[in-house]
Amino acid sequence: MKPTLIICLGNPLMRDEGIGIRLASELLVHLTDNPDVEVMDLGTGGFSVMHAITGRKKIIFVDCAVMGREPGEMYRFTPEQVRSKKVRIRYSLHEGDLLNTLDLSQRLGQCPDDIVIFGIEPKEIAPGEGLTGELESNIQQYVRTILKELDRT
Amino acid sequence: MAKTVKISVNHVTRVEGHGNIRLRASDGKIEHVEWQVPEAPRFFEAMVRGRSFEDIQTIVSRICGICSVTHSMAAIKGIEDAMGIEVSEQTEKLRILCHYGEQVESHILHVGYLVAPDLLGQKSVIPLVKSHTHVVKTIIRLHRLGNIWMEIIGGRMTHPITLKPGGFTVIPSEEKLLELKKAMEDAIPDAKILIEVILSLADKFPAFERDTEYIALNHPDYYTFYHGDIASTDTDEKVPIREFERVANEYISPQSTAKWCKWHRDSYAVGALARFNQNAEKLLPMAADTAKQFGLKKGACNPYLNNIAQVVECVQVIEHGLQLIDELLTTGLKPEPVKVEPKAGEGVGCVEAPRGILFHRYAFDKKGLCTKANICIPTGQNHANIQKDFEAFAPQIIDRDQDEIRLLLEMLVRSYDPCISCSTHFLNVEFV
Repeated sequence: MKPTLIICLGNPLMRDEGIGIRLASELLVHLTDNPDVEVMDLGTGGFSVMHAITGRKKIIFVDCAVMGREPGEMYRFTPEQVRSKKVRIRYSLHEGDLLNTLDLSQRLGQCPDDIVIFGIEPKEIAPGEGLTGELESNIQQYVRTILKELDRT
Repeated sequence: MAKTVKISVNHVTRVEGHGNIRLRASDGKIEHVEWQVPEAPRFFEAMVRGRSFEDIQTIVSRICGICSVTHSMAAIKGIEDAMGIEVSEQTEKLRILCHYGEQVESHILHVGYLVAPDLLGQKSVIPLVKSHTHVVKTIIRLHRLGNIWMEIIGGRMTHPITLKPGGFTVIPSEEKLLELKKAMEDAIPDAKILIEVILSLADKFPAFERDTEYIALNHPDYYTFYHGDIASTDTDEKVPIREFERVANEYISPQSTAKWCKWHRDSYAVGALARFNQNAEKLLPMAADTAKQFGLKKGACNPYLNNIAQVVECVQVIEHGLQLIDELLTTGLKPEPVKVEPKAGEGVGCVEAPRGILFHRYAFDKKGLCTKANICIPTGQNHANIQKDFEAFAPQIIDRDQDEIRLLLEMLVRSYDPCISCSTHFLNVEFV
């Protein structure tokens, strides 16, 4: 098991919600043969995060995040810095919430200490393929920033 | 005493509609009870039109993070039906095996993370970590089994990449199948713990029954998730999957942006309990014994017992999965190159999703480009039945405390394990 895991989340069929998945393929270009870093496309399989992170040293999440910032802005934060605004009423397994899953992992003692989230503010979350220009034009910058994070490990 | 009850449970955002409950009553009489589904339109059907048959599985596997194997399999079966493609016995066994992994993952998530907190009087699984650590850890180990299972056969924990029309791009090694077999065998004691826990809480499921039409795949020889015809508990007729539209009879309801369905009655139910009611006598011994422990019998019509049927099915798919692995290892795994020549045609794929029967219909031109798509999901088929359950159950509980009424109706919705909006999971945060 590689000690560092980059988990990319999202849906490439929902425009900017797919930024994480797009960045997974871009990051793999740089990291496929890296002995210490694994890149994983977990799509919208939210609860699987719990199993993917167990036993790792450092986790980097890459996901679309509504943060009230400018569309296309990437922002680095840790789970402790934020609170979810999602309303969950537990009708469905499909109310995935990363922060909630991390909370559960932490309480079970399965959560690595070093967790970083790179959120990218969307311009549009709607059915359709391809990112909006605001995100597309920043792809290489996002990749560079995430790769730099690996130096902090 | 005159009592007015007003319940309004809302959860609507633009792309994450989760359904609303509305109830209004005065003097113990229900004036209005409604299950509303403000779901986003099913845009995936439009998205696959014009695309090559080779791209369809990749696209539809993203419809849902929980049912990605199921949608993949419905699509590839539909494509194979349209193009007259036959697949090998090895492919069929590996597909069924992969699909079982998703059944375990989904059922365990549902029973463990959503239903168990209701039965233990908690609002979520989080407080259970402290009060019922052993139970939560058991559930998580079983969930992990589902993940390993799909990764070994489908090539990825979620959104599989090995399933294609005609066969598999990569088949698992014998070593990997043995690893999966061991994980499944190791999970049996955990399944027994889960059964004991749910058994000890089974009296918490409301004793509500409503005579219901149940629809599922039926096969004369085995408990099926993959092969067979469509069957109803109301008739002996078996309908070929190619004629699914005359079963689903999709229609528009003003309560919902999702289409509703009905066949012989105003509504019908699909899911684990429907499958059990169609195929119970064909359960394997351990699964049959599990059903017996719960007193679950063919003909059960308490919707809350869908959760029990899910537990029974977890045992069934582990039991049958072990058999399939033994069969595959005995015959030996052979790489089978997948080459499909596109052909014009129309076809239907149908499999049982964890939450009920799923239909995909596609048409292709001679280049293999999709000209038509129709996807009929299980939750859409259950909406009308949830409404009918509400209408029957609400008068029975209207004298209870308002919070209790709300909880019982929420539990009723949850028991159907709905997949209401599952295509987005983006973060929505505020900084603290």
